[in-house]
Amino acid sequence: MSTHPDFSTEPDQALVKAAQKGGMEAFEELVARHRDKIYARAFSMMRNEDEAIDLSQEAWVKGWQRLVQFQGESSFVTWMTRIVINLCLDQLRKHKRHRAESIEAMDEESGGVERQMPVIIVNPTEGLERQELRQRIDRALGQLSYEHRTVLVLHEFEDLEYKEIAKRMECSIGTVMSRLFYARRKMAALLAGLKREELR
Amino acid sequence: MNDKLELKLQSYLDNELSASDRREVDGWLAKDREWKSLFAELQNTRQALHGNEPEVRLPETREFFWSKIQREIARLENTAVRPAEQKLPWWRLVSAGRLARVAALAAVALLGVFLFRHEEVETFSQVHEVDTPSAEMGSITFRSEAEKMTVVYLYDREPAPELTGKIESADQ
Repeated sequence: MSTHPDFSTEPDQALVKAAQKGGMEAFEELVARHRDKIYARAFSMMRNEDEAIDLSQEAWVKGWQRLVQFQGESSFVTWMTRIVINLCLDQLRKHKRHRAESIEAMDEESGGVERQMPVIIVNPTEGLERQELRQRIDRALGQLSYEHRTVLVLHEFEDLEYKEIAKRMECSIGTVMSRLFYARRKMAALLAGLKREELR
Repeated sequence: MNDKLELKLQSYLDNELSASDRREVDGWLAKDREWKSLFAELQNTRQALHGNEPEVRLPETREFFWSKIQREIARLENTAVRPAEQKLPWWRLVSAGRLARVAALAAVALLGVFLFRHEEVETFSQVHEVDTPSAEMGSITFRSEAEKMTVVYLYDREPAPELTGKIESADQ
């Protein structure tokens, strides 16, 4: 018979308190509960399964180390999500440093081809089932640059304001606005392209 | 349309404009079809994304994923302790006991070698005794010229079973 306490019905706050006192089993339950969400955020930013697994694991380790600092101003999962986002942003900065200057990189700020794109008049996602819509969004996100995808994820999925995104991405608010604008325009074009593929 | 105005339109959509700027954008949207179309595109994209984040699941079992986290936490906690130990000042290491015993042993051994090699010792008695005073450890050294042998007897002033009564000898 197991002597481990049953944490499965405990709320997050109780688990956090137990973990802050050194309770590893309580922390394990928190990991089990939120591991998919933390991994999903890492994957949405990195678009690479192995990197997303490593970064979400690193986030949990950091979460454990900094747990005493968690005062409950936000929910535990929001706090953990912020940790994984920061780790992903650090990783993306490393990628960027290693990436050679390219036309694509130079176009990030100016919008590149998105500037010349015609406006998509018909809503390309109208009438889609939720599952189908999510699949298309996933495919389209995979075709965006790191910079465009990150700003879109932080604004649309994390509900962060321009100022907060600028702080996290270590850039100006103007850059955030510009990236978000062209990311949205490109997303609209990609979703419209997927709709055209469907109609063929 | 120019870049700055396009970004203002987007700020309008994202509720990041002041009241006066909002009124200005309201005016564009009421009069201009191009602005209206661009606004509709931005709005549709935003609405499509909102609440429709792709669902992704961690492709590892709970047990396996947790075991990696647990191992990493244990590794980091171990490495976090070691540097602190290494940063002890040298006098703390000296008083730590082990080093003191080793130093005392080395000093006694050196003394033994010194006495053994010192020619004047040969003119003294057949059995020579040297007592080495130390706070933690005592030693008595016997030198027998007849046997050509030095015996160093170590003892702990505070009994420690591993060293008490141990005999070190240095044969010629």
